[in-house]
Amino acid sequence: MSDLSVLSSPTPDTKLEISFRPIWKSVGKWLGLAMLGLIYFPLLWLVLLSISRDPLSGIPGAFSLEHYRALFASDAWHMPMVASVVIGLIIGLVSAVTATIIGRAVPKMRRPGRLLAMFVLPLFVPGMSMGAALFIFARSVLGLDLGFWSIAVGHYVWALPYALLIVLVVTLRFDQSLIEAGRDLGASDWQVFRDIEFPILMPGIVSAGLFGFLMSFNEVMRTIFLRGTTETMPVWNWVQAAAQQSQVPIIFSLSSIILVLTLPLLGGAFWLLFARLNKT
Amino acid sequence: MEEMNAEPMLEVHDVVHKYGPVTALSHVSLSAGKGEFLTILGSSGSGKTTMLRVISGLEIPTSVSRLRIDGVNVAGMPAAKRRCTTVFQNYALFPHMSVVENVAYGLKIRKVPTADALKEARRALAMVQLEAKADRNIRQLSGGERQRVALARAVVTKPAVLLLDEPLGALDERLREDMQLELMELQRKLDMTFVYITHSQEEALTMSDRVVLMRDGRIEQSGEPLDLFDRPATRFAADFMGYENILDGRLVRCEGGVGEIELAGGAVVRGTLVTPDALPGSAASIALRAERISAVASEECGIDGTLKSKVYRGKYTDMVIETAAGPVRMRSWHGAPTENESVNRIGWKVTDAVIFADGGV
Repeated sequence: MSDLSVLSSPTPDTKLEISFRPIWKSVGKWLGLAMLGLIYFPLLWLVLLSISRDPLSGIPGAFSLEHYRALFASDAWHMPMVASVVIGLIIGLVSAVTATIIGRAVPKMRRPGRLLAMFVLPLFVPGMSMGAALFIFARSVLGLDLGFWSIAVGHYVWALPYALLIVLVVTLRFDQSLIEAGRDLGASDWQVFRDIEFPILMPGIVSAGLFGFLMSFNEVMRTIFLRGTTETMPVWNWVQAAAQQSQVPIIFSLSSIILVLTLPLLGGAFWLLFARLNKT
Repeated sequence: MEEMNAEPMLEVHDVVHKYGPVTALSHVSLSAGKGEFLTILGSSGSGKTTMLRVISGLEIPTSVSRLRIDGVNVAGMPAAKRRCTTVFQNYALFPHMSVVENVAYGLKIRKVPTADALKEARRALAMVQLEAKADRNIRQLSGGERQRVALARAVVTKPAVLLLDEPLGALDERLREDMQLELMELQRKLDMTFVYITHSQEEALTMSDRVVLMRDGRIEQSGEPLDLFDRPATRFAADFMGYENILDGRLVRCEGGVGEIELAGGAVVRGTLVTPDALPGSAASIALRAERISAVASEECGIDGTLKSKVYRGKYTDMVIETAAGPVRMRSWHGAPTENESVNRIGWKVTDAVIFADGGV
């Protein structure tokens, strides 16, 4: 320090400096990795246990496919599986279609904010409350016997907001002048929809359908209220696991299969929505 | 002008269009002949875009007494059925189709076999020098190239009338000038009727056979580019066409198309009278372009003044002359013999000044 300096030598502001220490970068990195481990390790462990001879011990080892063989020999899970897949397909299709219809109308509304907020709110309503409310609604208002269709209604209410949000990603970005350009070139309203609007919205619509399927397929909380005696796949799994029966090992196998099947589906939905969409 | 076109390609008569309480078009009529380049000039809100949308059918007017394209009555006919296409301001190219698919779309809709449609589309792309990029994605094109694709897409179906909605607005200046020339060439080659919307008087003057100047949903003035440039008939038209000086006064004499106007401060100056029915004694204005004014000797017709400021701008020098009638802007080209003369009095040729009656505005 030169004596000429009129400034007092700067005293480091420790409060500020702590938040900019280089250590935060590595802390962030390691914390992130730890969290990723927490998410993926149990899944990997589950798959490993499903191919272990004695999964209930909790330690993988002595690998064998005997539980998969037992799974395929048993038919106890067939009905829940069929119920889940069929409800999932219906919900996927219906929510994709309704989300598209609503999602196409939203950009033309003058002030869609409040409506959208009301659509998104159900995502934060506790599943228990929604389940109980739907339980009463399905029985007394819709007059449904609890079972397949009451579950479907519950799943639809659960899946639609997600489907709508996904469809909105594409409909809000859609340039309405393309419709005018199509008409101007001589296309009928149907041709404009088929050739121009639908292909551009398609990634969002398909993702909404896939999401709808997955939301329905994984749903437990609302299903518990609405199922009557019908069992869906996750409910059946959960009942079996809770019952501590000899069936438990095959749940590990079943869960692993479902995991391996749904992850690519989810990946596909996101790829469609973001990777494909950015290309057009 | 209408009698010039025995068979107008486009005829619009007495169109009125309202958006709720706002009148966008108020009893507007215009027509364009075959192969004519008609420009609708106006600032935003003048109704020029509404006019275009009414012609294309994207907007159904509140009322219209006659709307014909190539002799066919299209009033109430949907856009898809009209023999006219539009080049949109934002191009509106289909992002999920390749360049050639975009161009071929109108043909596909008209049930032209795919192979023929693609061949025709490639020919249209060749016309705008883009055949090499026919299989590209739209996103891979520059703004100027997108513009050409939009143009090719609109002309490939051979419409009777091509509508262009400020197509050069988004391009940079250099490209805009090139595209102006290309558009004119294309229009001549196709012998197609172009209706071109712009807010740029320079574009209108460069390209058009005829210009329609719009203001607040009405036609302010129409005519050949030179008419509008040299003979604006109202203060608004003069201002819009870039007249730097508009001085108010009172008409004192008119004789054989030449008017004399007494300005504030008592000076009497002369110019070409563009409103022949104006009566002496009525309020009138004289409009002068800065570059048509020069210093004159004291005995010549003009107005006395003193140099107030002088700004060198490269190609020319801008000066402000303080006169009894107010400040007058004058421009002299760099290198002109008069550049460094002192200025005591300014004047102009009678044919370079226009005098019009002050009809209210």
